[in-house]
Amino acid sequence: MNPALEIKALRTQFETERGIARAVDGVDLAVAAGKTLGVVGESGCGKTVLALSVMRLVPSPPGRIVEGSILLDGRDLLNLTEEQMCRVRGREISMIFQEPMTSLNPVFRIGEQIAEVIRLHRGAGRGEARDASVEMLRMVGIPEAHRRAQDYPHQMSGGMRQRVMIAIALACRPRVMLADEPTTALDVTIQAQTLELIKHLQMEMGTALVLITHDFGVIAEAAHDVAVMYAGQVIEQCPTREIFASPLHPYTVGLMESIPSMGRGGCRGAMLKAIPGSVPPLYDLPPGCRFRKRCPDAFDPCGAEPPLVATRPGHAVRCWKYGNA
Amino acid sequence: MMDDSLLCIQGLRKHYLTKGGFLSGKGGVVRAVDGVDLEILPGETLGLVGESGCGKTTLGRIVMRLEIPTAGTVRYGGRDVLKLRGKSLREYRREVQMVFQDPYSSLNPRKTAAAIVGEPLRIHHPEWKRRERERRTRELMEVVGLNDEQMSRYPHEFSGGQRQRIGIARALILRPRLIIADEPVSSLDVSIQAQILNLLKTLQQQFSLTYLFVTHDLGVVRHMSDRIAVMYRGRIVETGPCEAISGQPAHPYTKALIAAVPGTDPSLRNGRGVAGAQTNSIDGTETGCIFQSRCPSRIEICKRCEPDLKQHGPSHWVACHGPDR
Repeated sequence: MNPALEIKALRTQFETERGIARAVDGVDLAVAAGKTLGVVGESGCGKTVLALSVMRLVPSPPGRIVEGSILLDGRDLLNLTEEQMCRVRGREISMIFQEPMTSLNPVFRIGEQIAEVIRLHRGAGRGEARDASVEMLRMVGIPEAHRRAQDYPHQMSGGMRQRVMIAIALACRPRVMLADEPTTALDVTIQAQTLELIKHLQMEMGTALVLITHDFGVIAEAAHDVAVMYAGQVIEQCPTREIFASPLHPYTVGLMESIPSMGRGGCRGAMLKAIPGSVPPLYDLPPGCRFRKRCPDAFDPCGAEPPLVATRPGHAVRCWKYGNA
Repeated sequence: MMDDSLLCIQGLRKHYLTKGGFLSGKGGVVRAVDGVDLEILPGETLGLVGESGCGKTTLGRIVMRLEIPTAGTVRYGGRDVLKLRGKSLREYRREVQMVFQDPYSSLNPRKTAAAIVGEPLRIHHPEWKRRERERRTRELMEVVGLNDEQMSRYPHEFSGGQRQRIGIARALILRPRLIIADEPVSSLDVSIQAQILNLLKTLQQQFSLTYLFVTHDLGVVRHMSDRIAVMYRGRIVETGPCEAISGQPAHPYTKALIAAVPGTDPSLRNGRGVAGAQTNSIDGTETGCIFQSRCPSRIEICKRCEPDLKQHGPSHWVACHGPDR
């Protein structure tokens, strides 16, 4: 099946005082309609810049998409004019952000904010858009949708606001939705509800979802496939169950072992296996493998940069440990 | 109450009066902490877990004497903390220290790391020679994993994990006995989180520390705690040994919290998820159990009568009408 979204050799850089930050450095990813690709990594790994690049919302200057292509149903978004891109955003690709308070306009009622998207992209009239917005609120599980459409964002809780964001993002039934840490700012019980909702709606609408998170738990719950990012690159990519059953890259392994989970280890567990050091700054990446300095398995070949190579069908890893030297 | 407890909290309440908003009309009372009994034994870690707004931070701040409670007592080593004045209050402040969630905003940006860590010594031991204070500062910074060269750097030059190390060193410099750690790893990346949790465990043994560990993260609290107290809307709804709370939770809210952690072992998910969100009543006129509106197993009595903490197992207490059925 052709992927709904295909990212090829994407490179996005930022000019900083200390040099060029290679935030996204040669990323290839694809996600099919109705599927969820999880992108997991720590802060500064480039996962948010990846999403902003797809939306073509990288602030420029200082940011710049240097090369690559972003194919939406085969059409390269990087070749579109800004005007054409405006019609793509919200209609064909939409995005939800981590912080639902700052991404809603505080001075408009939430019903109006949803209706605006519908009027703009579907060319609906006012009355029609208003009805459609109430319908969207009902779909995302907001009780008394008719009345709550009259609320302002500050009158809603964090979880409700994130539901509104999801309603806005899905109002035009987009082909692709990007969700950047959609549940991180929410409490655990609300997080579970929100994740369920996203999964449910995505299946119903057949949207391709790129789910960006730092939390392997969220990946386990919601993603079909997963890409692990480190310092601007994808370092491992495979189906979700494989990343938990047999993680290959030393960084993936280290990351999983460093999480105090409910399932593993006892109470008052022994010391966690922490990954020493910290992520290298993107403007000063070391030569060779970017994880070498923190890697327990580093050896001679790591002085050269490893390629992302499939070790078996569907499971690719960027590490010299797995041959291809 | 056991006589050998280091900290003993009884009947603690903190109610805030809200002013009438300029749009929303008359004010009311927010019951941030509403009748809490807790005790902490020397050398143990008590994990206080709950979602945002449950009052866990307020509780920590009262113990620090940063807030004055509306009612109740806090006893430290048998002495009434709320009555301490002058010299004895200074002594208390030496023995009880706090580590904050956000290492970005809790460090003075204009001071060097060494000045930040050494400042408590300057205040509490002005009679010491400067060289002695510097020696102790250097010693402690080494213990938390910061080197000589980093002593003269400013907070912005450090990563999040290193900043938290500075915050921890500052809390330890006066050799306290009790540390209140309020979400100390919540703003850190997973790989760094493990480093800091390990450091806190090492320090606890090295300096015989007692921890009140406040967090929303069940994985973290299980990894760190001897005992766990679960807080909901200003009250303790369940408390007991770590194994009992995480293995055989009895309160529906605790079960829901554990079930909501994404990606946990499905066999641990013996609780059902809950709908809705934690809401804080402003007027305080409702009767019955505080969790009833979200509870999947509520019965008739829950509406009328508020449950007290009742013994459920060895040192395991639950405030629910359900478990005895």
